[in-house]
Amino acid sequence: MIDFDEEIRKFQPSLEVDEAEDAIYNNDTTDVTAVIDRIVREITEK
Amino acid sequence: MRCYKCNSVLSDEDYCTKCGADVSVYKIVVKASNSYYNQGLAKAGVRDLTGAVTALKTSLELNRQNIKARNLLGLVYYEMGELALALSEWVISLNLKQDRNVAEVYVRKVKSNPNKLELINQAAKKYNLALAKVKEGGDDVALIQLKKVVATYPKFIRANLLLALLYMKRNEDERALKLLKGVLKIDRNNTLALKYIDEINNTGVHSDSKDKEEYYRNSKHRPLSGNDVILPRSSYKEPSSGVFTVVYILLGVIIGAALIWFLVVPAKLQSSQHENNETIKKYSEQLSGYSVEITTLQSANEELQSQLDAANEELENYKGDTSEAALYARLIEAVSEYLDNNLDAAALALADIDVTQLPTEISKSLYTTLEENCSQGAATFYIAGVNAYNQQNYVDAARYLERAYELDDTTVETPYYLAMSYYGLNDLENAQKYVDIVHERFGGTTFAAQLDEYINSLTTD
Repeated sequence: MIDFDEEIRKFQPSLEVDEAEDAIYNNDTTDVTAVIDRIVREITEK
Repeated sequence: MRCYKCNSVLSDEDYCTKCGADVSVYKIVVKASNSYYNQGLAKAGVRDLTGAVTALKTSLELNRQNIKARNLLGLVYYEMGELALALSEWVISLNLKQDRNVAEVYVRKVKSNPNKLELINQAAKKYNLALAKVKEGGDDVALIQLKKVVATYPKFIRANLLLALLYMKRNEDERALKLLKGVLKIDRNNTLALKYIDEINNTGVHSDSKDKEEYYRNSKHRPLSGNDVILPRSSYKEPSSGVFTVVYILLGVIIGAALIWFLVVPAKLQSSQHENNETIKKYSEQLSGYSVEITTLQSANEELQSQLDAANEELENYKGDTSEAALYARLIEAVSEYLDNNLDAAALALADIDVTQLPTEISKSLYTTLEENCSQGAATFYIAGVNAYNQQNYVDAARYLERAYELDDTTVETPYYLAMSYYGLNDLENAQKYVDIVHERFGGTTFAAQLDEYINSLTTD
């Protein structure tokens, strides 16, 4: 049985073209390679 | 593969030959990222877009420099109707790698069709508005908006799913299923679509909304509601060839002619017959009128004829011997003869007058006086009668002798000459009357014998 309201809450607004610029600028997620790089740097400095 | 530190090309060693950095773990991560990219590519190839997105996102989380994965993720987003997300990925991709990047082609193609770009952007805006309305409880408005979005941009998976969910809430499972099947054609393993279909086929959905109404999913046995529209199957079929067209035209002409023959012609005939009847009736009325007029004229004619006859008769009275004027003339003649002392002539003149026809008492009195003074006896009339007989004037002879016989019936001569006068007039009845008188009263006389001889001579002839 589906809970309609619960299902609706799962729906998120679609990104509009006007908002794409902000999305691009905010795309500063750290990937695993960056994590590894930071770890290696810390070890080397010690 | 390049070094994450100096960007030089790495060898098979676990360190960078140029900067000496340890790349053993880095190589594992990049290989894992590439592996996820391959998975994403494989899933996108079989239209498992949801799975592809998951794999590609993982690939980018491992290595955000994976340009191929990012470009493919943008392509998958574009196919799912998420243009803004696609553009974002492609722009980031271009930012990371400016030269020889296929993302540049994608962005250029999208920008080359501004109308479609605007249409997709408007679809996204309407979807967001509809989603806001749904969350506020305005399902009807949202439904209308989403219908428009899906109609203009059918690849917009998110809008399709939300509209399907609204249909499910309204127990319109057939429509929901149609939308969900459309979604699965774009994204074969779309998790939400599969979930909703599964719910439609098996269980129900319930809402925590204010009315706490439950919605059951067994749509195949759902009774019809007032909002359902039943479209009848069309029985119309296009004709297969021009022959049928000609046949239909001929049939139409025949039916038209039959209609004219059976509907219009009888009406015309009836109208004509009615007009004829009216004409006949009119002429009959005129004939009746003429007949009445003729009858009236005939009766008037008869009346006029009778009046004419009466007038003629009256005129004859004035013209004939019995007229008043003639009677007065005879009376004046008698008076004149009397004054000349010619009494016999006066008596003969009086004999021609019928005293009953005299119109006045004075004239009758005058007639009586003259008759008394002029009458010398039967001899006068006897002589006048015999003279007339001798002159073969039997009419005057009979008249004078009748007068003489009235005055004196004792002599045989008077009835003898009367009988002879009537024989002369061929009045056998009166003649026989006086013959009988002669035989009865004066039988055996010479006059009786002469009469017998005369009669015998007539019989012999």
